[in-house]
Amino acid sequence: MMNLFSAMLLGKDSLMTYQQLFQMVGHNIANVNTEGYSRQIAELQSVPPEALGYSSSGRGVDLQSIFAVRSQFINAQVVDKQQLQSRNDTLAEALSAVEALFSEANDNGLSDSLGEFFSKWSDVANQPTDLATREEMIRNAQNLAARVSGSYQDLTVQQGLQNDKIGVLVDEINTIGHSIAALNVQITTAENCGQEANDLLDERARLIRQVSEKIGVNVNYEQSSGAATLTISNRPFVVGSEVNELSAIRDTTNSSYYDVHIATSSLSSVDITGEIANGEVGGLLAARDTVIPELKQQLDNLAYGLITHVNAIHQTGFALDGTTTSQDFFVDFTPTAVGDYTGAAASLEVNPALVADATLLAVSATGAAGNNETALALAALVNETDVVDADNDGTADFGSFHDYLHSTYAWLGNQTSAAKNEADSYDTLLTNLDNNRDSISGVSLDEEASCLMQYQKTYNAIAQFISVVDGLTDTLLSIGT
Amino acid sequence: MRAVDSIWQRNFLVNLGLTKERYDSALSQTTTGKKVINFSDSPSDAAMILALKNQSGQITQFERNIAAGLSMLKPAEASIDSSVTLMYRAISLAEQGASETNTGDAREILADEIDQVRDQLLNYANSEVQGKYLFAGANTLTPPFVKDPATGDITYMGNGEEVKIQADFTIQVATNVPGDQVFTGSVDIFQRLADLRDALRADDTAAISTAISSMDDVVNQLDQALGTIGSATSHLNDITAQLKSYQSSLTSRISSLEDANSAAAISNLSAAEVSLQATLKAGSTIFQNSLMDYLS
Repeated sequence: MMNLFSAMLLGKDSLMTYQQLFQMVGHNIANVNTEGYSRQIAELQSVPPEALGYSSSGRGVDLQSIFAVRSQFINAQVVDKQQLQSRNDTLAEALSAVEALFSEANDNGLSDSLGEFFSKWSDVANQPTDLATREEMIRNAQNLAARVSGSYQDLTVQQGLQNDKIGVLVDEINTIGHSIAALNVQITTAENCGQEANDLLDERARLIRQVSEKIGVNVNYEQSSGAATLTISNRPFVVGSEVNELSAIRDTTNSSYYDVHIATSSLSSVDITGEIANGEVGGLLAARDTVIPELKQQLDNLAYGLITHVNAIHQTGFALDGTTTSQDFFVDFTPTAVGDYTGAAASLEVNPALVADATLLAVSATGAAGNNETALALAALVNETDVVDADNDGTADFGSFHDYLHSTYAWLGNQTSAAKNEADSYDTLLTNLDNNRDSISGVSLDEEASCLMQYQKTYNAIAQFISVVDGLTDTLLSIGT
Repeated sequence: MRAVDSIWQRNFLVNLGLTKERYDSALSQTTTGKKVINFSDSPSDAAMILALKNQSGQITQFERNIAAGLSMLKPAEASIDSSVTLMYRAISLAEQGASETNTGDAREILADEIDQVRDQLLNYANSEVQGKYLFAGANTLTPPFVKDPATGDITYMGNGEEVKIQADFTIQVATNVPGDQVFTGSVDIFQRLADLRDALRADDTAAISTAISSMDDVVNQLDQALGTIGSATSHLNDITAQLKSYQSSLTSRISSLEDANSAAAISNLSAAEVSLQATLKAGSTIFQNSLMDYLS
């Protein structure tokens, strides 16, 4: 009698175990589309007899544990590549926007305006005394000046946008950091109680990946507690339940753009701006602090070359009245230091006196109204070499103006295409890693379906077993009646 | 490798993205006709294209310069041409005056006619185009030859400068001949005509003959000026021809760097379209078959 009851109990326990398995399969199926979900599988174990002896049999099946199938190794690689991919992707996007600013596609770009500017000097040389031609020349020069200074402003606007984005990202990174810290605590607690923290681990891995999209980060796992430690440029960001927050602090020495600081204690923080290479922040910093400033400097160099060379020739010429001379064509610019032309592009402007009175344009080299040698010399500047101080040593040793501008364009194009290519190749790498990860951890519906069938058959069999035992019990009980 | 649904889906999406990118690139090449649109498409080609376009723009400007130069040379040539005709008329008048059969009165009339010829020549010498005096050197805003109302003497007020245009990258061509090389200078034509007029008035047949023989130099000087202008004009025409052929070679180089090969672009487009359709079709079948369908 005792044995029949314990067989009944075995059946009941086994049914409950299988109900848990159905729950697990349902959980897997439901999460087939959850990003970063690791499929869970059950570890079943037979239950040994209560007391060991010759004739004692086991007591059915027990669910030892439900664990998630995952590869820590692939997850670490994903974090590694993700930050490189998003750095290059962000940089490529930023530089594509810059490229569009300088587009020459519709024949109205900077290169074209520059050509037009020198061309108009030829027109003036052809018609030295014609006022309309002189005025057209000045309007054209104004257009060129506006294009140069406008491009410079546009670059500043781009930097401002990138800067704003950095500020937002810093907040987002902190928020995610706090979520990771909270998960660390839950995971440690769960593991201390001997539970598998499968879903929490998946969630944490997903968040760590999100951080690595935004900023370069290193991850270590503490074996004992299961907590993840995140470091940003070798400084602790998330340690267990603690978060050393990032902060965006305006730097007055860098146009009041944000520096990124990381807290080292509750009171102090340290500037890590220069050390952040990866993630979106890394890409934005590269655009804001490296590529765009370089472009701006090249625009400044170009503008300064224009101002000095055009003015030098223009000063030697005479206005239409035959006596006025030594006038600047562009508003003069004085470098703050040798080779430092910061501000030349932004302030490029045609001398307002000429704008007000086109007869002041110095076309004649002798003072005779029909002489056009100054205009001819200015028109010839277009092919003049050694007009731009490309290496900022105070000597103009690069040129022509067009060559310099075009080499700037080629440089920008190379930067952009390099970033695009890198982003593409890391993209492919990430896809492969994700596929590898899913190949290990992903949910296969077919697999789950086959588990479901298997578990269903077993469940039915156990139920059948209970019904047979029930029949036996009935038989036994009917003996007395 | 264990293939799971998410891998299929990811691969499908990645490949669809790549196919769409190829399609987009083929489409933009076909619609814009250009293969280099952004600098990053090909940085060195983009720089080269702009450099060539700059050259081409300069050539267009040289052609404008030459047109402007010719527009100065042509009326100058016409004025000198008319002056030569005028001089032959002066010579024939003088020859009539030299004839022994003429009386003093008749010579007086001829002298008046020579004076008119001289005034007409003054008009030619002061020809202007668009407010610019052609024979004034660089003093183009003031009439180069001024007649003293009292004495009738004509003096040159222009200067001796040549005004040049930039005809190509290195060559500058003068587009004027200063008036002191045409009408005054080594032979002062106005003075010669005045001498002839005075000889007629004085009824001095010997002086008339001397004046007539001195008219040869006058015609020579005008012919020389015509020669200068003619050679400048033909020089400019030669340069124009060279510029045209250079321009067309530039255009074809720009085109070879910048323009998409339209046949290739269109066939790329249709290939991309086919592969896009195939990808979509394949994608729609991926998720159709599952063991789940057979569970009861």
